[in-house]
Amino acid sequence: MNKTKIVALGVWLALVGLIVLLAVGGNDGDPTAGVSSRIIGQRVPEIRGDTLDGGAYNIDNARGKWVAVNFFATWCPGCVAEHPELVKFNEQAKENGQAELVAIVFNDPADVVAEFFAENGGDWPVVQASTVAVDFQVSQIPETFLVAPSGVVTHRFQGEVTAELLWRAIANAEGDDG
Amino acid sequence: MNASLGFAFVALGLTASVLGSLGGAWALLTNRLHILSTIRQWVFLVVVAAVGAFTMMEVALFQRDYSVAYVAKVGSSSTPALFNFAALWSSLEGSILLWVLVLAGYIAAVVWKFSKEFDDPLFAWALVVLLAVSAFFFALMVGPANPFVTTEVPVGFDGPGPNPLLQNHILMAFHPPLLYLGYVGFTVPFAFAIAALIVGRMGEGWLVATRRWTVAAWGFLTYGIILGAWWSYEVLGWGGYWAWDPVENASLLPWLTGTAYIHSVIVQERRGLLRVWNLSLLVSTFALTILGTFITRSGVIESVHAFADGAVGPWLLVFFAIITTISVGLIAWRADEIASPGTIGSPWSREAAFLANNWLFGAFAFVVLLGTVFPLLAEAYDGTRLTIGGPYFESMAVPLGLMLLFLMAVSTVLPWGRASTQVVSRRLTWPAVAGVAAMAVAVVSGARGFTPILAFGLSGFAGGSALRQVVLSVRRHRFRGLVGRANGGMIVHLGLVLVAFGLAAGENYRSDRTFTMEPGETVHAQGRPFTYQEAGLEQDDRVVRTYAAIELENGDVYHPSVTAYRVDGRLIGTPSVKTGVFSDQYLVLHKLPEPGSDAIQLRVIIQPLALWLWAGGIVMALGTVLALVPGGKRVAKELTNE
Amino acid sequence: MIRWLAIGVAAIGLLVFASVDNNGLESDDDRIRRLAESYACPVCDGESVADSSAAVAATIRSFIAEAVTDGATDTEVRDELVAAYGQEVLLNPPGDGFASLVWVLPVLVLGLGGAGLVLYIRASADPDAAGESSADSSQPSVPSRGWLMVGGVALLAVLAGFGLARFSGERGINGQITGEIDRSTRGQVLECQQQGADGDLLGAVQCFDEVLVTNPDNTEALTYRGWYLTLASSSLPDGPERQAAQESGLDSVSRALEIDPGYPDGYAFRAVIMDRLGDGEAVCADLSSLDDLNPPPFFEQQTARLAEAHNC
Repeated sequence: MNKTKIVALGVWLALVGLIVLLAVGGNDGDPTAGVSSRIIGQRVPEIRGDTLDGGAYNIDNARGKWVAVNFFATWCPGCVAEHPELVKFNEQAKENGQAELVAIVFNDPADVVAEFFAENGGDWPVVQASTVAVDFQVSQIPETFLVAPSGVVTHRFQGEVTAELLWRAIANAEGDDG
Repeated sequence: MNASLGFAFVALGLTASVLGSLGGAWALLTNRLHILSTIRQWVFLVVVAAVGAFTMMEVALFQRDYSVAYVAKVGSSSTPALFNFAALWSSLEGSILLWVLVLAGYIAAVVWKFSKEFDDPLFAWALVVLLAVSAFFFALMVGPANPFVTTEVPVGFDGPGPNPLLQNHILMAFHPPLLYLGYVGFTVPFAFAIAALIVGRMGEGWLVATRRWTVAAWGFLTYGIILGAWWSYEVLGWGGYWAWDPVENASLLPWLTGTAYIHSVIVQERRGLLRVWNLSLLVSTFALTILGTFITRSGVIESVHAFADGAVGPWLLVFFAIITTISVGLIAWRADEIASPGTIGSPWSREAAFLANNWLFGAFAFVVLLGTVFPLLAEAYDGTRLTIGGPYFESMAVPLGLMLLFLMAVSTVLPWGRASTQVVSRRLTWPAVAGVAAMAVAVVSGARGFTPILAFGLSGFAGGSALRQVVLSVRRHRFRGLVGRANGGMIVHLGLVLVAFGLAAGENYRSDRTFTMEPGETVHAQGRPFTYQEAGLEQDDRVVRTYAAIELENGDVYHPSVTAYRVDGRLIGTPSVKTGVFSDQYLVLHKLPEPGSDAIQLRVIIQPLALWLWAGGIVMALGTVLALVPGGKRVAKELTNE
Repeated sequence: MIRWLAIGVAAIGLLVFASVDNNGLESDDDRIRRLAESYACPVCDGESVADSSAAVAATIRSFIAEAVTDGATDTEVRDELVAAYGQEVLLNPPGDGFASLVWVLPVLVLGLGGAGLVLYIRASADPDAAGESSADSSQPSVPSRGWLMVGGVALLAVLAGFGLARFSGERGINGQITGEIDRSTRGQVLECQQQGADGDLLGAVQCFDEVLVTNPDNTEALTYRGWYLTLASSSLPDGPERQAAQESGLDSVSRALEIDPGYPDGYAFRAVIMDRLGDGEAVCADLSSLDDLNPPPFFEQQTARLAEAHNC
């Protein structure tokens, strides 16, 4: 066989390998899987601080329930857009007692946030603690994390979430164990 | 109405492309050559379709017709006109529209330029290939990337506008079109190459015919890349101009093989050698543009650049597979006919130098491709997640770049055929002196370190070699000595030398320090003072901008700022740059004043010879234009015969 | 021929000069930046922590800055960061395991390609040495000796590739080849202090001067340099030289105190120097500043004596 033909065959095989790699590798499209993060599988970082209405919040007190940790600011339109879904989630969570919701305010003055909640509803604890975002390695808001009843971080969602997405993710995770 | 009309145009484009390419292929295979002239009609329809679809989208954008989903995604009533126009290609579906428009333009130009050639099967096959490619892109728009999907929007809806980063600077509007003129431009020589393989005519005719197209496409790609780097430096504010990001690499890959091609093709024209190399390089260049589009659009490799949409990925990958399989298959099939008559006579000849050039550029492209997809490979192998970033690519690129500089210097003076050592050494003397002079100047101005001084020396060497050629040519032919491929090429080399100086100085002698400053405080970087005067805040409905007033040595006040875009919460630092001939003073705000404290973190970068990068880019563009001016061929032949 | 010799000598001379004269000691700031450029921000897509504005990147930068000033080696920094963030935080892929392929393959490709090139050109330039001739004479065939050469080059390339992998995986790309990079500033200062304590006063002063070239604001170096210079000056005979040395020593310490007004050692040493110069008021001023801070215990004797002598 001609030398050129041999080289051509070799090149073609390498290309096939490359194409297969590109086709199979990389990210998938399952939305309930969320995005990867180093802290998934780890104990949830400490979230302790004062809430908007002056109370004290400590995430460890929520052990035994799922906690959705939502990073939020009023100047972020995605956060504003997902707010009704969070209200829905919170109502449903209060009803079935399975989960809790807590919001961490990211670079926003307290009075502005309080006004927003007064206008748009929502009565979950809102903690002012920008440094928590570093521990969670938040890159861009809105981001929502799910913490299992055992205190381990299980999901990280970038962008807006819906109540349905959160409940589905919780159901999936519990389905895996049960 | 906009949407339906637009989609109708897209459908027309697909139909015309498919019918034109299939019909043409059938006519050629069954020898019904008289049908071929109808291809002209199909091409006309394709052009109408592309222009029509593009126009409809622009109309929709200007009318803020939010019933078109794409306009709802990227349009906004607050976007200024020029950016609104450019918003068309700011996201996936619209960018395919732009691609199709450019491709249609090129096809029309081909038909117009080669209108006498219609009875030549090679030319007809080239058109068939071009129409097949356009069929693919129209199909994308009928399928996964439909720009004319309609939607319902609530009353009073206002779109978010294009990504704020794209509205930062007017030149950003030109970056994608330039790149596309480059990428798509390579489709033309590719089509001719495939046609030549099909027809079995492996001679040099088609190469000469498409030579200018290739150089023009290369020029657009080069300038598009440099513009991107400039924008990254001046506007994005992360302090650099090239990050070896997968999307940046995707644009570099076809440039590397394309550069090798435009040089290697000269050998084939002259002596009929390196045919397999040239075919492979040309096919690779086109295939890499498709692969690059795939990487950019599929999100398979994480990148700050990618505007990912999973649906298009598989289509692009399949198209890539088809192109490469057909091309490799054709080359293997025609392997015997491709074999070149004659061989390279001596290692000290221009042919050998260009072959070495191919080797180096090929290795460079291999490295960039390997580094870009390696994280996928590693993850597939044992699940480890690796990051391959700047330092890896630089450690590979620097030695390759230095070798290429050396080759650039030497190959300019090597004659065709056999060289006599005396002639070559005589020609290289002044360039070598120039190289040593460059090193001396650098050392005297305080530069130290083996690699950078070596880089300065080789750049001076290459620059001297190119300059010598230009001087000789001008002396002999006055102004005509500046035009034509060879002379224009020397000017491009000169531009590249300027870029090389800029890179060598910038990468090695950069001073990058971050200071925490209180108002009124002065810090020093490389002996220059910077005084933080005060901070301020500006806001409108799009952004909240915090800036700091920094006073420089000569009393000028510059304002680096951090802008928070309300649309997506992203924080973008906008640098403030004082450009000087020998260095830039580059200021970035890293940490803003907070309520209660006016302290800031200011990053001060002194970037030596940054201007030379952009000046070099302009010289390269100028050189490309000069190279395209006709009439230089005779001059070039004379020159290379001396 | 002479021309080329001259050119070659000049070029090599400049290169050698530029490499040798290159101050092999890296300043802390430069080292911090170099390290920051070799780690990726974990939540960004491939940006280095030096370039990224994410909060996590700032955290990692502070960690690197602290580690460097504490005297950690490059390898210690790397181990810590990898333990905290995983291998993907390394911007430079590691030199071992599967990842080393990313270093080896390019060298291999380059080497093999080059060897092939050379063989092809040689074979085509000199058809008599081709050995076996194939059916189509237009394609020069590669002699069997050539295959041996190719094999040798391949082996060499693979070894070189692994060597490159090892070398690059450990250090950042701008690391000096001299191997001095693991000596942090603090380590150097300690060494200089040891020299002074051993009695080599002028040597210690020179040692500190070297540190100050790349770290002009290092308060420890400035203070101890000033102190040892003053000590050394007392062994000089009276005259302008001694005066100059004393003044320079005093200047150094004063400069250190300018940079860091909360540095107790500075006040202690300056008090002693002022005592030698006979400036009682200055002594008392410095002693009272010293009192406000936490003076190191071994000064107590001295300061007590001084305070008594000048009635502070």
